[in-house]
Amino acid sequence: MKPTQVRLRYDIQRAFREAKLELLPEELQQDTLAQWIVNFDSLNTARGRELQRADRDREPLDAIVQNIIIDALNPNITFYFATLFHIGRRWEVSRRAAADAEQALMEDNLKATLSANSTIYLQTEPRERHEVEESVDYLDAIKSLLHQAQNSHNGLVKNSKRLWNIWREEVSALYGVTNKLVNSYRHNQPDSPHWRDLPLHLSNLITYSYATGDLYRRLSNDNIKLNFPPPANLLNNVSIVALLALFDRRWLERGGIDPHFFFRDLFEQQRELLGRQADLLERQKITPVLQQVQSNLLERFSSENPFPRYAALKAPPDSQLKELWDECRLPDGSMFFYAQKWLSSLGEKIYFWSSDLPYKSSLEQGDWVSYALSADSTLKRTWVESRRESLLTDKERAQRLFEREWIQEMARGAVFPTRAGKGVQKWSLEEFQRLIEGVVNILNDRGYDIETPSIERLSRLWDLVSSKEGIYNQDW
Amino acid sequence: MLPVLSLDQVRVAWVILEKEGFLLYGFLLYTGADRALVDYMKEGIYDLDILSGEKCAVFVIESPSKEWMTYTRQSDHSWWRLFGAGLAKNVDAESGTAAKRRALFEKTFIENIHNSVIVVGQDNVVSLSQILDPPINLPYNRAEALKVAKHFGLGAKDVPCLVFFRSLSGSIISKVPLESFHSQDQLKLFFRDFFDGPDFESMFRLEMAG
Repeated sequence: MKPTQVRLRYDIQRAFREAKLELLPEELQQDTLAQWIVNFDSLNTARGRELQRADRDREPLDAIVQNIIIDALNPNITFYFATLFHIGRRWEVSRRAAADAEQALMEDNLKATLSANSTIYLQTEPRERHEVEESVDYLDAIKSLLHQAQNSHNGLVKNSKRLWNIWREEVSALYGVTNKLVNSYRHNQPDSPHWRDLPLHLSNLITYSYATGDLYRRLSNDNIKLNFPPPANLLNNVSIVALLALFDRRWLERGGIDPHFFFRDLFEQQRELLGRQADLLERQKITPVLQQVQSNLLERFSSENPFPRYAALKAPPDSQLKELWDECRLPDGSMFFYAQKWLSSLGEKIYFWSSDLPYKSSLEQGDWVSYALSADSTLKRTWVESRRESLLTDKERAQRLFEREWIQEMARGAVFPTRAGKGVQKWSLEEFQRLIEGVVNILNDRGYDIETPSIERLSRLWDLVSSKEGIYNQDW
Repeated sequence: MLPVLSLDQVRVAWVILEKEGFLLYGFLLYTGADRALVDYMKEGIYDLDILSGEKCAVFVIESPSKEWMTYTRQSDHSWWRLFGAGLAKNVDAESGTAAKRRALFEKTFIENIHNSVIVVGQDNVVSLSQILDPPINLPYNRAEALKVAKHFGLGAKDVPCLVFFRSLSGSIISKVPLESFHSQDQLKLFFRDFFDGPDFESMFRLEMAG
């Protein structure tokens, strides 16, 4: 195996670059924006050619401006360069894998696959080779696996195409901003219309950041880890541009631009951008923490999800429920999905601010259960969402919440016609007490230990909710 | 040895390695279908790392294993300084996910199918993992590997091979064919022989500029 020498048509660096490009889908290879990004790969190009002004008589300020431009472009170009290859490779590899899966699903190939793998199956199953090779079950298993792979890869191709469209839109915008700036910069003649727009184009470029774009958000949400460069130091850049413009007012004067509006717009753009970047960075920082906490909770509850025990009209709320709930609160304020799912399975809280409690002269079993469900759901929702009062026992707390959150609201609905001066009030105090009593019985059957308030207390409540002053903060 | 995640990382690494005193660079060009080489690399990478010496960096486009990361960290290897420290965190997280995915897969599907091959046409066989979870930075198949090879003046029959060069700005490479080795043992013996012999020595005399 003797080594042999090969002379390449161009240098090895270029061979690597072109070989890498070749592994992308044809559509990406041919795309002019992709070519722009790839050829921009080294910002020496930017330094050396693109931004070099036609006249070589450069002022010291120009060097600073060039550095600002490069500083603003560098992270954006690097980001779009990295994502171009990520999207392109994902697309191409999935396309090929989906095509292979499709080929493998052809009947002859499936049979050949089963035959090629029969030795493996025979190691685990004492069967004859021909039995394995003719097994419909095995064929079905392979088929199902290949179908899944095919679907998954087709999905990835579709997603890559979506990302590619977003990539093009964003790079097109960056190209537009850069191109206008480069044109302004190249035509540094006092009366040139391009030169007049230089400050605006400059401010457009330095406030352009991939980090506020849709592509970055989507890739971050998909947890795709690429080596993204940090966004340019916008604060410094904007400040320097502002200072330059102050020192060299020709920029603004030649453009006939009011400095006041120019600076105001520039800083507003900067503030908005920094705000959006801060949000994104914050979300990025918290994502791994959220995943870790959720993974810990899943592990902690691996043997059993404890929430269904507290489903509607099942076990009454207790201290343990409150502890569980607090434990399931995630660092971003949202709830772990076990808790969230449980909460949404409960009935809604009742409100009778501007409506009445529908009157029924006789209540049936279905009505009782429905009222009990509403009381139970109201109690449980308030139980987990409100602060725990340490001086109260669970029994006392349940009684208090039952009275304040449910009975009080039901009473408000029952006396609504009197309270609002609309129609005739149909509910009598005695009927209302019977309703409460029925609900208490059902809830106590489910493990609660609550009591029906006395007729005297309910009468006081009745008066308070009927009055114009209402019941705000008053005991009954 | 320097496992890199993509061809592009070769260029990045070269710039840094040149300053560290490396004189010769190489890369292994192969595909998932070159089973003997794929299998050899699982353990042979440590052998190759020692055999290639301190002045020659051989790149291989592979995801580095945990063992490799531990090995390079403990030996303060150039690879660790270049890529390892930065990758360590990500690789840990990713391998966790991969392990979970695999566990789920094994539960759902036939256990042994991991070692299976899939026939996609006459004389065209790929591994099942190639269809289920193909690495996106490696050439997908022989056709893609050949596209890469073409840029280095190599043809279909030249893959798999080991390619050497002195400088990125040069245009002369030296290729060592590996297509006739069909087992890990054959490859092991060949590499030990090669890196200890005059052919490897002659690589250091390759023209720089080409």
